[in-house]
Amino acid sequence: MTGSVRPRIASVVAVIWLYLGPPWVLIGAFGLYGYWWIAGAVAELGGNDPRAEVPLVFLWFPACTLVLGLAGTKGAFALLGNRESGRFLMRLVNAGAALMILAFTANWMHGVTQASRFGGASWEQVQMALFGLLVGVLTALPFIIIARKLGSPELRILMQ
Amino acid sequence: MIDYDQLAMEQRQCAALDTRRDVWITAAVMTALLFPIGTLFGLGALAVARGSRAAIDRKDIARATGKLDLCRVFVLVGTILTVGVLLWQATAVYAAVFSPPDGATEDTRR
Repeated sequence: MTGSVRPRIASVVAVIWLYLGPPWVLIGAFGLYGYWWIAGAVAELGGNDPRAEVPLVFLWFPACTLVLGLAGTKGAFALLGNRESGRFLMRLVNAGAALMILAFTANWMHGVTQASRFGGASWEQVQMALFGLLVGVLTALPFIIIARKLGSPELRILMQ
Repeated sequence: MIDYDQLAMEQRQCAALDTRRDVWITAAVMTALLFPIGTLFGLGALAVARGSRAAIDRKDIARATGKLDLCRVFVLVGTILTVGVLLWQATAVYAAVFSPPDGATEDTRR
């Protein structure tokens, strides 16, 4: 009796997402619960004040995390089973994770440049925003590399 | 006489062991990132798995299997312990946030 044989990248990506997926599901679920809780409190306390609104990032970030976590866990099991559907799903999930990280960083750093009492961003704020964007790009980079590796023609042939 | 079936069987076993090695080495690295308990077990798993590649290359299947089995034990224990501790801490934080201690008033919380 022998175990299954898979391309190395399939095993590595599957295990990485078995570790990332479930925590992302938990974070997303608690984040959405938090949004619902904060939105309720703000609506109750804010009354008709138009400034009393919860930023949309509190909604879309946990929602994306939840969806990517679920899809990543499903794709990881499919990859462990050496299925082509898993490779396709994991490409989407990794590209989506990279996009989500970049969008979140851009949103946050836009906020950093807007937080000015005198109108217009100071040079320090611009520096901070550029540094934040760099950190976001570096964080997204592994996901982009994984998505590219999973799209290689050799791997596609091996898994078909 | 060369037994080609035996050779093919060995090749297949070595390929399967190589896949197992990929899985458990990646899992050990991911466990090592779970600071601090997972780090100990993850590094232990990596230390135990050292030499498994050479054993596979030598077709020493028994030795490679033993190393990978031990590596798996380290990874699973480390991951389960870390997740357990994290969940326990999360429940403590949740309780602290949503249920202030008895007798707490607006003044004491401020």
